[in-house]
Amino acid sequence: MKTGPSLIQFVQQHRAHLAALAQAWLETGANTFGIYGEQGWLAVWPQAPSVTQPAVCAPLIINGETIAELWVIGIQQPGIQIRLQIDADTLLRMASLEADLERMTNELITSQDQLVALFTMSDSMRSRLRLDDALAALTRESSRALKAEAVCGYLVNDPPLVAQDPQPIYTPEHLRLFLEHVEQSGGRFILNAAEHGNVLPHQMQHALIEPILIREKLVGILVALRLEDPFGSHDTKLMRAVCDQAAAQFENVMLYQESLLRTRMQTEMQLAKDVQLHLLPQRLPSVSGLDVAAAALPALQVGGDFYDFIEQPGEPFIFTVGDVTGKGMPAAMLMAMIRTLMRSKARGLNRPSPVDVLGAVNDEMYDDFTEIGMFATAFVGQYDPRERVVYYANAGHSPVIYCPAGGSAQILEADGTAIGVLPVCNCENQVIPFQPGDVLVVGTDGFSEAHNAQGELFGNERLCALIESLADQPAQHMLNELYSVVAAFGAGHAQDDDQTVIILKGVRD
Amino acid sequence: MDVTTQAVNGAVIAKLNGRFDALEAPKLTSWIEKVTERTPHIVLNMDGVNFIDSTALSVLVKGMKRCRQLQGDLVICGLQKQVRVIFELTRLDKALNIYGDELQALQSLG
Repeated sequence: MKTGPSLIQFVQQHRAHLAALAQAWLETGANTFGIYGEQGWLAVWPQAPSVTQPAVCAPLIINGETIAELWVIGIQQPGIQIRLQIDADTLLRMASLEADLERMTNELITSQDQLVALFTMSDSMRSRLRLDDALAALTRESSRALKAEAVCGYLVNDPPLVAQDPQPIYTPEHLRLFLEHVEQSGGRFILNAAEHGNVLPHQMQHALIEPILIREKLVGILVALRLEDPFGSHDTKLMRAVCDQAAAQFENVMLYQESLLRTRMQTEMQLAKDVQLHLLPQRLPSVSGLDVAAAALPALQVGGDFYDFIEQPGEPFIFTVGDVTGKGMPAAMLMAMIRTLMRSKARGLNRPSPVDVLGAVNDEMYDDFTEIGMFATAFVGQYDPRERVVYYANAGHSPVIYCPAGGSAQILEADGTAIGVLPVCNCENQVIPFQPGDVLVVGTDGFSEAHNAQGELFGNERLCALIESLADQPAQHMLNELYSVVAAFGAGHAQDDDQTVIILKGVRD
Repeated sequence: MDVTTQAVNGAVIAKLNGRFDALEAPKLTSWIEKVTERTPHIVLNMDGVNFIDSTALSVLVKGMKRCRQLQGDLVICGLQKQVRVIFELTRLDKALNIYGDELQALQSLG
């Protein structure tokens, strides 16, 4: 028998019950009832007897060990021993139930603590917009939930992200090796000082290494370290919960970062589009004898189509239309180059013919185009109001449609290859009369190759018929009709390619 | 688009089928790059190609330039009508050597 603090505690906790038992015994004739331990009476009713008297005893046995005895003095009846033993057993059962209850209550409190810690961790991570901040929040907030002395987090990134709380335990290289081990072994692992002392610095005795998985992909690890208690199954479950929570938060941060990047790129594309739109003429030219309309509608935010007007006092009016192969940013950049070059050649050369302009541009850009693996079709026209003719050269560009007043529309086919295909321009200067009522439409293949839901192309024949039917209208009206008819043809089908057009119509001065 | 290839007398013949557009272009670009490490004599039989776009055309031009740089050529044969029209509109028929069938194309490469 022993009288440790637990026994004293036992008596204190059950004093009321013991008092009730004493009352019952005293009422049935006993003169003393009490609980007797190694050191003597622990509790006794009504008071300790002054002299030793014969007593009936029943042991209180916990875990096979007698911790104390119930004593009854001054009563001699059959069955007393059994009654006292029943009292002792009942007392013990109650004690055991109470202990269970207390343990369960403690566990509940611990779980609740951990839940609160888990919630605090998620909450703290949720407000982070950057991965490194979120990782720091995770290591800082998870040590409480995990009852760990230190926590290290490692996220695969470029460069890898590391956070450790309260102080650095491992080098990033160490943590990367842990991650590799997780990857190879397929899951968590536990280290203890007895077996793996060399990988447990700072007197840490136990380490639990758990993978952080986003959609089953290993993105990092969390390492919890303890000075004393080993990690049990409860801890591993909790660690899994922490890592799952953390993974969800990391995924949110990543999605946010992606959407940020996307927004930034969209903004830049919008800027590029604005720049490109400003490269196009901001107003229509005023040329005696001509009614002019022009427009460009890129399929993507930026495109490879361009048109330009070059007006110089005393010089013939020059207009250009071109289409760089491909789409998007690369095409847009080349478009800007070729448009500028064409403008400078048209202005810089002494009364250049269309072929002079195309030839000079091809000379300058052939190497660049070869390097990049692209080319550009281009049309250069030159209207001379005195002669009322249009000189032109066509480097692989289509469609170009000429509709003389009252006549039928026809395709003016290119005679030379596109710019950037051959080292030397093989175009020739052509000439068409341009009297009042004559119409010239220089478009890009976004019109002729527009297609409907059935995959049928709009085609050059439809285009010619349309121009012919509109030839008596003002240039701007023709242009509006052209766009709306082609859009109606492809209704429900996204515009595939840029649609750019210049319409020239001969008018009386 | 699918591509089947065959080596004949130091030249390589590739037979293309289906749509040849911006989506398929990178595949042919890298194929041409790989082949020209061995030989600059390439025949593209396009009798199975029913559509071609400008990105695809630029792949052909790029391949043609590369082969000619290496004293060879990239020639084309078997154009369907609607594809031939595209070559004519852009006047690429003046830059690329185009033949009726594989035999003529091969003979042109010597």
